[in-house]
Amino acid sequence: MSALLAVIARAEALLATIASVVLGATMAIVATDVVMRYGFNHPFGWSYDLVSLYFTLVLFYFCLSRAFSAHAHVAVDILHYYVSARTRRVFALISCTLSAPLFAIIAAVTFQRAVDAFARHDIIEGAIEWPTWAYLALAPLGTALLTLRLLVDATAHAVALSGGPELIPLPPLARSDEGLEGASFE
Amino acid sequence: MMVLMVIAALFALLAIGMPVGFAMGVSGAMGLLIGFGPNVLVGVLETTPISALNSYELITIPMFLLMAEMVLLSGIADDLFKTAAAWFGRIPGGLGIATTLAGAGFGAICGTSTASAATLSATSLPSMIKQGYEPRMAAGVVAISGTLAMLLPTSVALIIFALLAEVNVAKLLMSGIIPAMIVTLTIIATILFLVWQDPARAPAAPAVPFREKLRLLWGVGPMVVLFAIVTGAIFTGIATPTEASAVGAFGGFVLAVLKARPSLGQLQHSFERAAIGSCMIAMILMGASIFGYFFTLSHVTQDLVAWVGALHVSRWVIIVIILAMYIVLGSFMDQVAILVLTVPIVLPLIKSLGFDPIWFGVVKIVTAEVGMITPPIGLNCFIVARYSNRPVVEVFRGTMPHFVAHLFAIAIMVAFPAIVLWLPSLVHK
Repeated sequence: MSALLAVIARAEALLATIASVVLGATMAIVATDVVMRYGFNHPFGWSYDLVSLYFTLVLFYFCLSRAFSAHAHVAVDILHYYVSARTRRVFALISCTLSAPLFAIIAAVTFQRAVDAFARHDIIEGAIEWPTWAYLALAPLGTALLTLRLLVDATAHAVALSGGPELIPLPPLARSDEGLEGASFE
Repeated sequence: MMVLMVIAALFALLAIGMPVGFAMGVSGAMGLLIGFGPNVLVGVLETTPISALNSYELITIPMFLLMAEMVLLSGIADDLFKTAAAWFGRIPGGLGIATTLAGAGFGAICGTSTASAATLSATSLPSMIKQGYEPRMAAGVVAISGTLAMLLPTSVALIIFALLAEVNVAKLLMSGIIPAMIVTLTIIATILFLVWQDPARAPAAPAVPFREKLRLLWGVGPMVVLFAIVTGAIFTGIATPTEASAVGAFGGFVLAVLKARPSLGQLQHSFERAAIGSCMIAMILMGASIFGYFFTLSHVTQDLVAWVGALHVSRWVIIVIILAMYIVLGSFMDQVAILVLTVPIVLPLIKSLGFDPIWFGVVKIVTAEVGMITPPIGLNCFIVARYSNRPVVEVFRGTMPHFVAHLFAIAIMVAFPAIVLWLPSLVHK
């Protein structure tokens, strides 16, 4: 179990690093495009499609699981201040167990969509013919990793609840010192 | 009945601490499955995870988050308070006023309230305490000044509202400027009132030589230029908000590299924080989109609009009830959660009552500012307490006068919508 958690964490870190690079590339491309358009009347014909079709999805799906494991997703945790650690772990178990099927279905149906698009050689017309499957495939990649993370976390919470070792910590309370370190973006 | 069941499930999932985006996705999918069958559910889940995110405008959020990260990394935010303090510190309550102006200045280039509150806590609060300010008052000023970031053109909250409400992002970003000025003046007026009540609360700081004042002013020049470029480009229509945000992020990156000379690891950390923050917001938008399909197919909003229309109650009474509800919700829910949960339901109602959605967006964000300082969960108060090592109860007490003053500011904006709508009416399309 610990080895599996480590592999998932490594995969999450790798994808998040790629997303960070893509974020930098987005900044550079869009800013340069503005200069090329207004300074030289020669905008990039490809940047709009590249950013809106591919980069937005890379940014989201490559950080999805990492954001969950880093407890970065916004949650309403007011009830958590009034219950025991054991109850909080039960909440975490329910949360993981109910979320996993949603992301598993998304992974399955978007994967099928990507496979179909690949088989049909679907493209988006434009200055460059963008293959549809390439951006569709980003969704199953990110959601499959998140599904795996949710299932493994659910198992780890169940192990801890049944008296076994605490393989993963409980999410920090948003207003605790640890929670405020990574405060949300409001 | 089914709608009530799904809404109850949503609130139950939120209560156990499931991430907001996940909870909306799970309960929305459950509603689609029970109410409309597996084919509809699969159809929605096949398209929404792509269509909800394939938007060029969505890039505005990671770009503004990145800009905020870069500005924080550069450390120039510290200079902002020093400069304002040099110019205003001599008058009683001057450091408090300087904190407010620094909050407005920082908010103009960093659109997140929490980052603003954390930065002000580290810079202005120790100076005020050292100067002999009443700690409660000083902490309150810092917590409330941080919220100004939610109203100014790089505001992430305003962009989320624009995406949810499908209103023009450029106009919405511009519409917050005059209300932000009103809120700034409200905070300053509250400080002056508190000092008038008891001058010992906020003693004047020593004078700063004029030459030093000018030197400090020169130091914050790059921030003013960055703000002018981003806001000017959006206002004049030279660039779209997305393009302006990317230029702003790039400007922030250059500032960070020149001023702080960060290591590659520091840069990577900042980029990753911005990427993860963007993912968090996109997840909420995707969950809201799935839940939105359920609401649309169930005709919930149409039924609600028809029901309210049949009430024969003044629209002003309804808007006051809605805003009061927002203030109450803000006392136990995070602002992003409130936005995504309520805007899809409330906005059609607002439109049917003849109110402008841009005006409503700004007024909603001002109520969100209040929520950021309202006990028991006002996040800014916790951040100020955490970064300044002050008890959180003290910070909450310090924000109470500002809470009351903000209600007056909201009343002014509700009574005179032109305050909000005049500037966006000048924005070039």
